[in-house]
Amino acid sequence: MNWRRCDFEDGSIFFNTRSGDTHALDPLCVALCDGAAPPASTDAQIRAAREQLQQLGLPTAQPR
Amino acid sequence: MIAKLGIAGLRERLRGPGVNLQCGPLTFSLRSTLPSLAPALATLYAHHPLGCDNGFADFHVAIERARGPRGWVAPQVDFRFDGERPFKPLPLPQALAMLEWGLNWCVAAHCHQYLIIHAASLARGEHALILPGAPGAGKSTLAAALMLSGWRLLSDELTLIDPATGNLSALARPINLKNASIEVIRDFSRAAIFGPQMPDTLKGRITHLQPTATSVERAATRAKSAWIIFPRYLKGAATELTPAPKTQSFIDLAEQAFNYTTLGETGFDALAALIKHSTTWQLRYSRLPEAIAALDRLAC
Repeated sequence: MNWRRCDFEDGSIFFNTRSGDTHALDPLCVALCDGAAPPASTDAQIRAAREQLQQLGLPTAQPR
Repeated sequence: MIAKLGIAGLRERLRGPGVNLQCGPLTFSLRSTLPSLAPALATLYAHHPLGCDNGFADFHVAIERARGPRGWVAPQVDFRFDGERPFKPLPLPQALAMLEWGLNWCVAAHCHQYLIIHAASLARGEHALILPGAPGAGKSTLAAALMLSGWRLLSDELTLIDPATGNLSALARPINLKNASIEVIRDFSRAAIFGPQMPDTLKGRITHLQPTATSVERAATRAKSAWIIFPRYLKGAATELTPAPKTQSFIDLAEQAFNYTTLGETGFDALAALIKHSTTWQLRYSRLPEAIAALDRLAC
C-alpha cells in the first residue's frame, strides 16, 4: 500500500508514501474510493471523480 | 540576560568570543565587529537569556564587512555561517536585516527535527494560535498587535512543531514589520519597542519589534495548536471570521511548510494531527482592534 490517509468532515487527505505527493479528495471521491454509497451526485460528477482517482492511482471500488 | 550586558559589554562580546543568544530551544553564537549591531541587538533581544558559555551553539554566525574594492564606494556586509557565506552581501545599513534573515534561514534549512511552517504563532496559556499567510496577508501585523494585546509570541516567521508531541516550540524573536505596518503598530500601542528602521531593503522599508518580556520568559511553556487562522487584510473590509474547510487548510499549510516534503510520512502525520486538533478559520479584516477582539472571543 503506497497511500496514507487522514479523514476530515469535509473530505480526506491522501499521502503517497512513495512519491510524497499529497492530495485533497472531496467526499464523493472518498466514497468511491471506499466503495461506499456516493453522496447525491450527477453521472458527470461521478465520472469526473472516477477519472481523478484513476489518475492518482487510487482504487475505485464498486459501491457496496 | 542580554540587557544586563549593556551596549558596551555586548559590543565587546560580539567583537571577541561571541554572544550565545538563547532563543527557546536554539542557541545562536553571534559575532560581529560592526559597532552598529550592538545597540540594535540590545534593544530587540533585551529580555533574551544568554546561552551557556561552554562553547556549544546550534548555529555559529557572524555579520562582517564584505571585503573587496567595492567596500570603499558602497560598504557591504556578509552573513557568515560556520565560516561560509551562503548569501550575496547586502548594503552596510542593512546589517541587522541580514542577520535576522540569516537566522531565519539557519532554522528553516536545518531544524528538521521540527515541522517548520511559514507562519506566526502566539499562545494564550497552553493554547496556540497559528497564523499562516502569504506575503501581504497581514500576518506579522496581526501577530504584533496580538502580542501587544497580551498574547504570548511564539514566533513571527517560523512555527516549529514537534512531530512526536504536537507541541509548538517558541523562539520569541523580534517581529519583522514592513512599510505601512510600522506606523499601524506604532499607532496601535505605545508599548511597542522598535529597532532601527532600514529603508530600501529587498522587502521595502522594514523594522523589528521587540518581543514582550513575557513572551521570552515563558518561551519554554508548552503550547499546542488550538486555532489555525488564515488572515487576509483587505482595505475597508468588515471583520469576518468564518470556518475554513479542513482539507483545504491541510493543503494550504503543507504549501507553507518549509520541510513537509523532506519529512515525508513524519510530516504528513504531524500536519494531520495538527489540523485534527485545531479549529480552522479564515479571517478577513481591515481594522486591527476588531480583528483582535474576534480572536480574543475565539480564545475565551
